[in-house]
Amino acid sequence: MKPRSLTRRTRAVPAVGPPGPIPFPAVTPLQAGSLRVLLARRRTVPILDLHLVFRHGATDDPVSLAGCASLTASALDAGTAASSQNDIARRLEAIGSALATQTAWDHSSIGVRVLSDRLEPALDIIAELARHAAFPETEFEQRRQLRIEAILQERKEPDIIAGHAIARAIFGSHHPYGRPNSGTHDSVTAITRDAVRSFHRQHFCPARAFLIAAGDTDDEALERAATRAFGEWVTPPALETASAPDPARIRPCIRLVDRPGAPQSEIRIGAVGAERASSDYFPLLVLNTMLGGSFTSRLNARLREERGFTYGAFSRFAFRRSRGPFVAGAAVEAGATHLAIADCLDVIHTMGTEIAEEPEIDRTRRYLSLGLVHGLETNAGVAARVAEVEVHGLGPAYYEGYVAGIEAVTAEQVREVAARYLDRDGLAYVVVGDGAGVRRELEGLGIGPVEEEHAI
Amino acid sequence: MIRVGFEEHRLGNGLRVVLSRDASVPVVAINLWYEVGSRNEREGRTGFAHLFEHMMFQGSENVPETVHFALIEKAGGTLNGSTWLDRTNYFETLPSHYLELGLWLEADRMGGLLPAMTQEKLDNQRDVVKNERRWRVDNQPYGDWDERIQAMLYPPDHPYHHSVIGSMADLDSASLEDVAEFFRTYYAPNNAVLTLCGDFDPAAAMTLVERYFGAIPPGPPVPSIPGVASIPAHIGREVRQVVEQDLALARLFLAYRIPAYGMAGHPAAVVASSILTSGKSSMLYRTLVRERQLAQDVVSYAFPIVLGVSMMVVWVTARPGVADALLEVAVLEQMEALRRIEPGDLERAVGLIEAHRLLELERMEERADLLSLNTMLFGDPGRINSELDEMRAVTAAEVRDFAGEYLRADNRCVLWYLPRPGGRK
Repeated sequence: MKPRSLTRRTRAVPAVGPPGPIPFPAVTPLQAGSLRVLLARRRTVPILDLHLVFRHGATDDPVSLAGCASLTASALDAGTAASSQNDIARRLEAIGSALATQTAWDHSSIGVRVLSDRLEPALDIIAELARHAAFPETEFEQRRQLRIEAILQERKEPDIIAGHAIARAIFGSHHPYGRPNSGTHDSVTAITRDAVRSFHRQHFCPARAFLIAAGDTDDEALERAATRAFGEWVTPPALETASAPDPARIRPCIRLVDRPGAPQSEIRIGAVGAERASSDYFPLLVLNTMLGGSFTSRLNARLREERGFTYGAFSRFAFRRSRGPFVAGAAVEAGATHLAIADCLDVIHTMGTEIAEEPEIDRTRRYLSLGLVHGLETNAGVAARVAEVEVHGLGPAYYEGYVAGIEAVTAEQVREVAARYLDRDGLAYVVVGDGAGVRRELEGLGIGPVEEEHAI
Repeated sequence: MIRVGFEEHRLGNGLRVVLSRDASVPVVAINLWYEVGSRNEREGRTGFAHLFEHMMFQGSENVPETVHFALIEKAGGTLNGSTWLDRTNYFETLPSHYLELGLWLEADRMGGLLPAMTQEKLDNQRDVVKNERRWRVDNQPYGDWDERIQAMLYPPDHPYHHSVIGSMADLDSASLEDVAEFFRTYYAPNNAVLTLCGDFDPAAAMTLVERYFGAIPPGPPVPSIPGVASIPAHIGREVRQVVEQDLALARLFLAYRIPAYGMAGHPAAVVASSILTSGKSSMLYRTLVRERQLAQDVVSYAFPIVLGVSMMVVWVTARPGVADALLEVAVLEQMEALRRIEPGDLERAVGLIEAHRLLELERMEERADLLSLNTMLFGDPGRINSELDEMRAVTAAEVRDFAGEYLRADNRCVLWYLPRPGGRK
């Protein structure tokens, strides 16, 4: 076979022109009775993303009822005084939509996505569910049972087991962040209909909520439709948002959840991270991207591209209202479990002791700043950014300073936050895999005892 | 509804180019389809198209190893690729002023991959792919369902019989010479479609496309797909299989042979699938999850694959304590009910299909992929717009006929995953 001609191909990386401005949308604050409304108007597609966001989340679960916030949100469409769950489903589908509910740690939301000419029926449905959810006994009980059964199913999924176990390892099971957002078998079993109705009364109220509209509508139409749907919504002021206490010190050990015969181990290394308002936020973003937050990150480069131990390694900091978790991990072939952990520790140690070179930091800063545009491509992406700024009180001009914040991060700052947050003495470890195959080598790592746990 | 505008071009070397400008957001999506997938793999080389896809990211003539990813990240871009039965695609979305970088990278690996290929890289990516298989298939509950379903539905010599990820043994057999041969055979401009979607000037973009891709010579005629793609429209009997795994909940998979994507009967299958499981007032969700409380969840999918005969898969996860025989009867009863649907049942289902398409079209990356798909598989990028017309035109009678003709016992695979008694293996 004649070889391809190579002579005419351009050899050098093409030069680039200057970037255009990042298209942060203007956000217009409006009012619908006592409900705050935020409009990010976009005319890219004739669609509206509507989200009613509440300033409460899984952190507000009553003690021993982990999963209450999540179950409440997901059962809003179980029925209202006026509509059965099937009525609600039909009405949503008649406007070409489905209900999206979300319970995060610091906020919850219910929303729909519709053609822009369906603004009014969409808001009517959201308002009816938020205000008048009745949690009818039979339907609510069915939802609760389905949730319990989903938890049983998740006990067989190694990545979910690992996620729950590392949260518990970092925070302990008495800390809100140490419990699964959607609850455990025992905690959801203990959630009664009354507990959910009480949670709904206390937390789903306009004083603690705001409505986001991202997409194709205007101030007047939105304010009119929102006032119609929410204008009369007045409930007593809710409880203040719970904050999470400082977690206790992490005990050095490797928590092992045994899955006999598993061909891969899910490994996790965790630590206490930072809160969203932390002054370490930008240095930690840069650190995380370099460590395990991109394809070229050091953990991925080492474990996947160099060693071939895994399909992918990752790390992330969860910046919550209180200090959230840092988690790094990968699904690695069983025989390499201890080697992969040793590699992770080596990479983390280097980040805390050696200053990274400028090309790597420069690439990381540019990935984060130029890459902002991807989150602004869709209505949903814009809505998420607006919600984040509002929930965390970052201020309407937040994104104007974002790029500058990234670009100001220095290599020394990255090293310093790595050393401070990822100090070896403060790390938690989880392995979900074949205990018989990996236990001895894990003990040989010198991290601490290997303690067996069960999936919760 | 969004109507996507576009223009089509073809280079002298056969590369088809589709340009679709939308300056709403300053990004450009580059999408490249090669007409090769798992269906082109010969016996003993299953999983090779996907392994090869991995090799395409390991550098090329002017791009050292790992630099491909680094360049895209430094530009604030995202990138990936994927392998499917009928095709392999590569895509990146970049801030719009980086269009030329993306084109240069794609052209360099289309024209000059082989100088950068080494045994070490192949061995490394083989390990990565084997771990991908472990992660997706071997270490997940129900993980090998598609592998089993394809093997049950298609005869052993059919191009769709084996899974895209392939077997560990075949991955172990892949050699550097296989890589070279595969590249020369399939990775040629005449076997590819390049689509650009987003914020760019079409004339300037075509100049760049010519500059970077124009010099790549066409490859030899692509060989015919190995095996026998022509099979009867019906299996001719029911095929059953039971698998025991460490599970909390049993799950039933049903699969049927259906008309291929692009054939006249396929839209009715897509609409039927939506009627069955799309949304909480869908037939299976409403009856099996809410009313009879037998199921945890329900899913269905009519595969968009073009060779001869496609498949429709329905899966239902059982609640604990529900006897599998009971659930199977209940599901089949509902499948029968498709033979009695009325026009009113269609409107909701088609509305949800439209809503899903609207969601896809909002992102340039998805829009570009749909343009490449319709250009490569049907020679008609405009089908990105007209496909929904086909869906809207499906009648209740067509769905009833589809159900009667294809969703029947002698055209059915039944695959049960049951919790292993006593737990672990």
